[in-house]
Amino acid sequence: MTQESGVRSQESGEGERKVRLATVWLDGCSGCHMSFLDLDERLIEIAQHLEMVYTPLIDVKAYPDQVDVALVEGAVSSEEDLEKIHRIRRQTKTLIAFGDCAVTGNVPSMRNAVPLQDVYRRGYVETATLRPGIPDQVVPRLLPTVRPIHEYVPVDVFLQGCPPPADVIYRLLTELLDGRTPDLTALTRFGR
Amino acid sequence: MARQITIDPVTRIEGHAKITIQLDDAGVVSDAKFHVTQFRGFEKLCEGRPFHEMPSLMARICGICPVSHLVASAKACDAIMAVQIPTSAANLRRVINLAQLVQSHALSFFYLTAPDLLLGMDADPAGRNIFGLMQSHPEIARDGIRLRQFGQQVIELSAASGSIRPGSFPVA
Repeated sequence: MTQESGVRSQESGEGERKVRLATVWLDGCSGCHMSFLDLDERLIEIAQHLEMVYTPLIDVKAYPDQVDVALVEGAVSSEEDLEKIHRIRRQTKTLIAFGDCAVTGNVPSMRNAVPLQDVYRRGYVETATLRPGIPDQVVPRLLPTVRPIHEYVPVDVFLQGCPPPADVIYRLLTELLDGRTPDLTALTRFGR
Repeated sequence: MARQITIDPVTRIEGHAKITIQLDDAGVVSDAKFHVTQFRGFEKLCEGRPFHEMPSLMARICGICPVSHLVASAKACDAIMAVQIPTSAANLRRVINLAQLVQSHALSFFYLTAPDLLLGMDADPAGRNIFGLMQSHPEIARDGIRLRQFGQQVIELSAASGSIRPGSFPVA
């Protein structure tokens, strides 16, 4: 079942308006981005219909305005992630929680069972060989617990999987390019 | 005049980072820092969990090199159980690791670095990326994509063969 909404790339006399696509990784492992790249040559095909306006694969530094579709991978774990997700939501039409870390918290949220100071101490002091010490200024501060994206901002599409299969990502993007927001639950059911 | 140059984020790398460079009053570099701006705490979050969960969990350290973490973890499990795996299993681990090298190197070179080499370091940043390469050097872009695809396919086939638990890998 697909719903009419989302983004439409319109045919005009001169050519179609290209969909402005962004991809972001917050606290993820980039596996979802790798699954996106597993589109392989289909990436060349869909790149004709979209304008990649922000992604770790290109050299844009600031998240732009008027983004049509954003694939956001990763949970919200640091103050910097939090600031980013609010900006992304403000400046994006269709926000996709991309992969299990973004949808449920997944692996990064496994640290929620442990006090944050213990997490820091294990990584930066107990297992450190060179200049042990917890950084407090030069890197973003971690939030007390890791949360999925929808706990901070409204999400338009949830794309589950660790990672979501490339075929499902392709299906989602082609549907969005045609102006439809698909229901993906049948394609991302556990075990597929 | 003393000032700071900030590169944030560092793009076309495999992770999160920023760079700050301090210039003194004479415009000479007095300090430079590479900041890793992500930390998940794998060292702690794994504690108390069954050891056989570790290979699959450690694969999630990185989506580009999950095989490295998974195989390292599997070897640790071998050591915990004081077992030696059969030769064919060890060979399969070698195959899957080599396949990862192929896809990871293809990604790093063709998707991330090649734009600088083929289009020039001073090329317009707007096109100096894999999407720009698809326009300017379509055959090279396609070759790079297919080389990475080959590595990914061998990983998937090797994982399905059984020596490493199927479904342990984050590959499509």
